[in-house]
Amino acid sequence: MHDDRDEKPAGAHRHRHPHGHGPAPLRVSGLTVRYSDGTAALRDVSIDIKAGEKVALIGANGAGKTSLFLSLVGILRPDAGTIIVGDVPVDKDHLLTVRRKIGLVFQNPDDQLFMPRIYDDIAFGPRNFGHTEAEVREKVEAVLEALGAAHLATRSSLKLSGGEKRVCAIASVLVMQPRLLLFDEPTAFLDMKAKARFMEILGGLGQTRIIATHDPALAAAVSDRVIVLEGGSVTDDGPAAEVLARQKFA
Amino acid sequence: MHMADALLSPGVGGGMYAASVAAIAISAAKIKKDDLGESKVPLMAVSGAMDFAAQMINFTIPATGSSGHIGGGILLAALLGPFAGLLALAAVLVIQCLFFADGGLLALGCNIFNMGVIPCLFIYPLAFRRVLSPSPNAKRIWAGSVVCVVASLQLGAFGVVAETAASGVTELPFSAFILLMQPIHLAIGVVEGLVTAAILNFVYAARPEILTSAAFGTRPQSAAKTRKPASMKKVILAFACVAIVAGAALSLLASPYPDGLEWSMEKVAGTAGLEAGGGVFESFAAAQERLSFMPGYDFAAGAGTGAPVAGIIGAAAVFAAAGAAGLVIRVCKKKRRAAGAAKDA
Amino acid sequence: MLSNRIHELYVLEGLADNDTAIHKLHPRAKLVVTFAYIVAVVSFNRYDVLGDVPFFLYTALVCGIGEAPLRTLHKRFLIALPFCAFAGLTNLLLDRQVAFALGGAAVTFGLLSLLAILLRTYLCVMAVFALIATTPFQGLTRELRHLRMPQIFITLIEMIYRYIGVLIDEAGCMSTAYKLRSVKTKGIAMKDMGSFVGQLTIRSFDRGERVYAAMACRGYGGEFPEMEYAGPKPGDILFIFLLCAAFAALRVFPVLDMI
Repeated sequence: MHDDRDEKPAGAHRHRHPHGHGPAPLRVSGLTVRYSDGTAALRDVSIDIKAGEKVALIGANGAGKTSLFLSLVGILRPDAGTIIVGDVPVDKDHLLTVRRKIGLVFQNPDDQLFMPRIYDDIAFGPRNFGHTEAEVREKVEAVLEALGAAHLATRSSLKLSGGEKRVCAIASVLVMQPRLLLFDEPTAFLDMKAKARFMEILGGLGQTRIIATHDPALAAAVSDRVIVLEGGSVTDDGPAAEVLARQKFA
Repeated sequence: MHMADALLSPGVGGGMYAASVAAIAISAAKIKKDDLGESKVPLMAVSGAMDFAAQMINFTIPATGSSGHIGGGILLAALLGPFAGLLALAAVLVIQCLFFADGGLLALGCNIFNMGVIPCLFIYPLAFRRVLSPSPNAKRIWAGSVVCVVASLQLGAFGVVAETAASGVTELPFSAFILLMQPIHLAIGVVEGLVTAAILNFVYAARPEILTSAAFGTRPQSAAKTRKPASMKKVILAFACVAIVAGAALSLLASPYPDGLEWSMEKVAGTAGLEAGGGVFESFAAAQERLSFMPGYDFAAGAGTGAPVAGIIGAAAVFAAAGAAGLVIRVCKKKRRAAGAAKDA
Repeated sequence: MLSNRIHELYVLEGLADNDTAIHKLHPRAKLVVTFAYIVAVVSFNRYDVLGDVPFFLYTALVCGIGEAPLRTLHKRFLIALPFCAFAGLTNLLLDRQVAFALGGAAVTFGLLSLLAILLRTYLCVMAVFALIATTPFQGLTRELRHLRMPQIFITLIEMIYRYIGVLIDEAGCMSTAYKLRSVKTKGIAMKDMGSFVGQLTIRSFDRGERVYAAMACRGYGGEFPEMEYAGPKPGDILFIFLLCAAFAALRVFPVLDMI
């Protein structure tokens, strides 16, 4: 596990987005990531995603989807290759800037919601980035309102349903106004109704987006483009319908 | 082995609080100074929750028909290192105290000391780490776990006995209490030690780096950063020793005075029982001396019969009144709520 | 059985969302008063049963006004009882000196101290439950933070509280799966504990790393951000003052002892 101890947390100094909140493009070239035992999690992955594009990343378990996401936010350090989000390279010196731009929604909301009360969980990001308590409150309320979840603010994450937890995890990411959204298996713990609600929320989001899933139906429904990852390498990439047909999913 | 409030005097409880809070403050400072400290906090939290869950799992002890559960001081120290282990265990004890009445609020200091500080800050660095060095293997883990868990439980049980005796609440002679507690905890210790060893060996087989880095702080990559001044370490360590010894001494000091408040009142007022107060005080004190059945006051057998009966009736009246008050409040609230609901409908 | 424990844990949390006069008090007021109460209760002489009796008023009133479910709390109190009862019973056996006679029967000092220990156990446990049932957990930890307890420790308490439910759930699933495959139904065989808890430990470490990653993604760098904090109001200070004065008065002038 790596971390960014060379960069001070931004609690002390406040900095604004230089380029507003529009969707950001992503360029990954020649990315290789190895586990500590030497086996490769990702091999020479190159992906170019335009601003505002909706992408699905499909592949079996262990294909490298999560490793790719963790590299994009700078948790895993690449052994080779570069990643550029918007115009900022993902490296040691830009971790906080990058993490403001990218929102990563984890597969299991229990990994993401770590505070006893939902409000504080959603406020965690804005507080870390040095917003005043009044600004934080405004942001948290706005994002919960937008997701139709204002009633969850004072609840404890322990007593929420899977769908409610998912909404709160998304809120904890959206509140930071990211320009690139990553979802790791977002429908894994959801029933039909919660899944429909999730799709509805997705429809309202304008950010550049990558959804990692092994559900081809979801990929077809919410994405223009599909990238296939197998054994840590990209094996197919193109318009959703074509790729899914080629993969014999559709 | 959780110590309870009812067996504790305020002096002993306060002294042990001081010792445990000092140990926690030092451990927190240590973690903060650690390069990997920040990433450790979530790890400590989840491990603490794991220990909490593991404590609830009853396992069957072969050939006895009884069941046991693990405590976790040595386990958490082995997984997280001594300071992080103590913080995680202390946090678990706080939650157990508040939500499950496992050990009282006043006894929390004692419990953190007996079950956390002893295994994590004493036994682990003095024994466990040494048994494991220079590098862990299955045999060393077995030996270290059993020996250290037994030692921790023996010292912890001794702590319970000493704190109870110092508080002067039980009649049980110190030696008899010791003879009772130590063997029981020897048996518990052996079982818990074996289970701890089995857990640690499982973890070591799957993820050896967890135990090695907890014991010897082998840090991947960031070893180059050696900016910590050695003197600060010594200062903290010295402070640790002073604080812990002071806390323990404070509670020992309180021991000849089983009743902490009484003792301090004696100091303030000059004499015991506030006799120097004069006027109202004096008559109250006189009444108290005459009627209360405290030790040290003479009871002529039979002569006191009237007083205790009155006392018991008084006690019953208080219980009844308080119970009734609670009930009335409840009923009123329910009625009001029902009325409100009816209005809404 | 394990899921029952989760339920038990979070039942109290649910109560804390209520909105009664007790709930409205500042966490600090309740924390200070609870401590003062316990110190007063245990500071009586070990044979002094009657001195403690008036303190029953406090828990009865707080639970009444705070609408705490007594049955739930009493059930939980029973869990805390055995060790104290044991210590009390040894007193009963060892201290046979007669204190006074009551209607022909001799009352020993041992009996008095047994009663005192039982009563004190009840009062102390109920005082803590009354605190928890009327105060949101977040309010308590925020208060501890404000009182300059180490940040890391308080955060740890909050996070452990949060993850206990998740981990118990996980342990519960594993134990159900285990029981379905084992002949014995009672608990887990000691020889299997190593791999059972070991497995749980490794999963926990993986989870710990994911939680850290999720926090780092949101700007976490080791420091926890300041949170809003509202101090106690004059009413809260008055509450502290009045109740501490009452406890002190009951301690210095044990009403029932004087009858």
